[in-house]
Amino acid sequence: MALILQNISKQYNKKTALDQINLAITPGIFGLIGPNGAGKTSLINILATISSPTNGNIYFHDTDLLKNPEKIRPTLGYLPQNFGFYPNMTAVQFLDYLLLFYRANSPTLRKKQIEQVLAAVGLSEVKNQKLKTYSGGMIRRLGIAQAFLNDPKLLIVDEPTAGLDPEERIRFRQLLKGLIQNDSERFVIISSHIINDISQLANQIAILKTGNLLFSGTPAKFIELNQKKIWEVEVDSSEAAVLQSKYHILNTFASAKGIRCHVFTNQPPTDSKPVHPDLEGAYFAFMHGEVA
Amino acid sequence: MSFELFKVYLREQLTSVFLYLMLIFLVLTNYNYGIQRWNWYLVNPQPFYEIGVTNFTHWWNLWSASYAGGLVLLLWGIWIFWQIEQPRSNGLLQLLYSKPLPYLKAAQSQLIAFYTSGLFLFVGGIIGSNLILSLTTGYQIGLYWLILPPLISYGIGIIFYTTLLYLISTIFQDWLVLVPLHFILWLIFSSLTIVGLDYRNLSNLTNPFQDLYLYQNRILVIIITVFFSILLKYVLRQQEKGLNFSLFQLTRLFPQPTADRLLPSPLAKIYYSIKIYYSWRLLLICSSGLFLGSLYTWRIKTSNQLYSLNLYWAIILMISQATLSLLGIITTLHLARFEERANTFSLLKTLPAGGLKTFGGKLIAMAIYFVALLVSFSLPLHFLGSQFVRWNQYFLALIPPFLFLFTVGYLVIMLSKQSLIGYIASGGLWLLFLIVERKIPYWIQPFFEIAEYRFPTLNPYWINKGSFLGLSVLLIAVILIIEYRKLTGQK
Repeated sequence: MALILQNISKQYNKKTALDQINLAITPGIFGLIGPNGAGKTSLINILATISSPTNGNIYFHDTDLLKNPEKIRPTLGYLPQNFGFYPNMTAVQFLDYLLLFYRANSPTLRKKQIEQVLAAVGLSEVKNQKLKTYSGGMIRRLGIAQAFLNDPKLLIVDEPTAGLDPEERIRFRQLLKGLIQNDSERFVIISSHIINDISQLANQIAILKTGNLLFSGTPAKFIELNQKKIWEVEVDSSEAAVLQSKYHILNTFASAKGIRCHVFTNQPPTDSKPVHPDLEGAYFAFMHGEVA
Repeated sequence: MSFELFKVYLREQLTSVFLYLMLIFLVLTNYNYGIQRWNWYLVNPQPFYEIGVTNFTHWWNLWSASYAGGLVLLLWGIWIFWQIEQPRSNGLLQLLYSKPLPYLKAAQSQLIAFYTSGLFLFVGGIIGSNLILSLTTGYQIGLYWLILPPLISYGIGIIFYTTLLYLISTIFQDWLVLVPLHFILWLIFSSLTIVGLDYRNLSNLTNPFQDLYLYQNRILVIIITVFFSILLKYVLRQQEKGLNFSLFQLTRLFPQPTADRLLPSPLAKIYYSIKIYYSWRLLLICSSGLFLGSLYTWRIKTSNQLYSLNLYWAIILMISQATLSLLGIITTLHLARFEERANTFSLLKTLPAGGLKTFGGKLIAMAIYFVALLVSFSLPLHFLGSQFVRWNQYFLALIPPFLFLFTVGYLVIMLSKQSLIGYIASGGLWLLFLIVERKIPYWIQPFFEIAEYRFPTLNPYWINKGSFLGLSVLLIAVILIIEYRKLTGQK
C-alpha cells in the first residue's frame, strides 16, 4: 500500500523543474518542503493528474497513475495553490457544481454531502451567500471543503494555509488530522513553505531544491541529521551586533543577562551549548549546508 | 449530467444583472433595426445587392444597422467571457481537470449554455422590438416574418461570432488582445459582406427562402463556424494535456515590463494606467461613441429624404441618446468605485506617490474616458457628416450635459458606495430629461439645439449650456471636498 514515484523528471523547454525524483510514500501525511522554484508545485500537479512528467512512473496501489488517471481521480481530492471559483455562485451551488464532476447523480445525496463538508469547515451559516462576499480565509476553507467532498483516499493540498490567520490554520490542521484518524490508509500530501504546519502534521517529509530531492524520511530522522549545527549563546546587548556579524542568527530571546541567541554554525562559539533543533531550525541548517 | 452542468452555467449567466441590461439594449437596437428596416423598405423596396455598393448612402445605412447587431454581440460576448474566463484562467481549470469527469465536458456545456443564453436574448430582443414596433407604428407583422428571417440571419451569425470569440478567448487568455482582435475581425467580416451580421438579405421580405444569396452567405458562415469549432476543440484538448493556458499568447512576444525596470519611468505609468484604468472599457466606449455617432450622421444625411417619417427619427434619436448616456455612465463611473472595489485604494494611499495623486490619476482617467466618448461620437460627423454640421460644434455642445451626468453619477456612487445606485440615479435622471425634453424649461434640456443643428446664435443656447456647466462645477466642488476629507482622514 504505497504511492511510488520512480525517476520522475519534468522539463519546461530547457528548464528542469524536477530531476529524477524517487519516492515511496506510505499512508499518513506527507510534507513536501522547499524554497520557491524548488519544483513542489510541478510535482503536485503531476500527482494530481493534471500534468504529465517528461519521464518516470507513478504507482498508486499498483495502479499506474500516469497511464490511468481516470482510475485515480474518483478517489483524489485536490486543492490547488490558486483556488479559482465563480464569484456569483453560493458555496452550495459551487460545491454542487463540483460534485457533478464526480458523476454524483442524486440531488439528495449531493445536498447531504455538501452539508457535511460545509459543517466540517464551519461555513454552514454562510452557505447561501455569494462567494464574492467571502473573505480570503473563507474562500480557503471552501477550497478545503471541496477537496474533502468525495472522501478522498489521496488528498493533495498545495500551500493550503497561505493567507490564513492562526485560528484558521489550527482549524485546518485539525481537519487534516481528523481525516487521517478516520482512515489510516489515507494519503495526504501537503506542500508548504510554512515549516511549522508541516512539523505539526507530517509523519514523512521530502525536501526539494531546484528540482532535486535532497531528503526523504521522517521529520525525526531529518532533525537527527542536523544536530550540532545550532548553538545557544547568551550575550549582552552590545555583543549582539558582533555575534550577528559572525554567525547566522536563527532566533533571539530576552534573558536576564541580555539576549539569548540561537546561532547556526559548525564551529560553536565559546560558552555556547548545543540546541536540539525543531524542524524549522533543522531545515535552515540543512538548506544552508556548510557554514563557518 | 451534461444537462446539470449546463444548468449551472446557465444560472450563472442568466442571473447576471448585466445580461438583463444587454437584453434591454438588444431590444432597443432591434427596435432601431426594425424601424430602419421598415423605413428603408418603404422608401426603397429592392434588395440591397441589387442596388450595388456604389450607392454610398444605402450602403452606409445598412452597414450601420448591421453595426448595431454586431455591437450588441460584442458587448454581450465580452461580458459572458469575462464571467466565464475569469475563474477558468486560474486554479479552477486545474481543479476541474483533477475530477473524474473531463474538463472538456464542462467546456462543452459552458459553450452550449453560452449559445442558449444568447438565443434567449436574441429571441427576446426580436419579439420585444417587433412588439414595440407593432404597438407604436401599427404595423402588423405575422410571427413568421417576425422571427424567422432574423433568426436565420442573426441566429447563424451569432453562433459564428460566439464561436470565434470563444476561440480567441481560449487561445489568448488576455482581454487586451481579445477585445480589439475580435472587434477588428468583426469589422473585416462585416465589410467583406461575406459573413456580415447584417440584415441586407432580409430586405426582400416577399420570400427570404427564395433568396439564393442568403443561402450562399449563411452556408459559408456555417462552414467557417464548423471549422472554428473544430479548432476550438483542438485548443481545449491541448490545454487539457499540458495545461498550457496560452498557446499563442502574443503578449509574450512583447517585453513584459517588470515593476523594478519600469516603475520610475513615464512608460511605466502609461503602461499601468492602460492596464488598470482603460483596457477594454476605453475601446468599448470609443466603439459605442463611433456607432452612435454614425447613427446620428446617418440620420442627418437622410433626414431630407425621409422627412415624412420624422417621428421615427425622433424616436431613434432619443433612443440613441439614451443608450449613449447609459453606456457612458456604466463605463465611466466604473472608475468612481474602482480602487475601492479592487481593494487597492488603501494600499495606494500608503505609497509615497499615493493618496492625492491616486485621486488625481482617477480624475485624469475619467477625463480621458469622457473626451474619448465625445470625440468618438463626433468623429463620424467630421468624416461623413454634411457641410452644414461641424463636428467640433457638436462636440462642444455635448460637453456640458455629459459632464453634468457623470458628475451626478460620481457623487451618488461616492455617497451611497453602490455603483448600481449611481448608474440608476444618473441614467434615470438622464432618461427622464430625454423623455420630458420638450416639456421642461429649455435651460435644462440636455440636447438643446443639437437635434435641430441650428448652431448657437441664440442666447438660450448659452443659458442652457451654462446651466449644465454651472451645476457640474458645483457638484465637482462638493466631490473634491469629500474626497479631500476622505484622503486626509476626516469624516
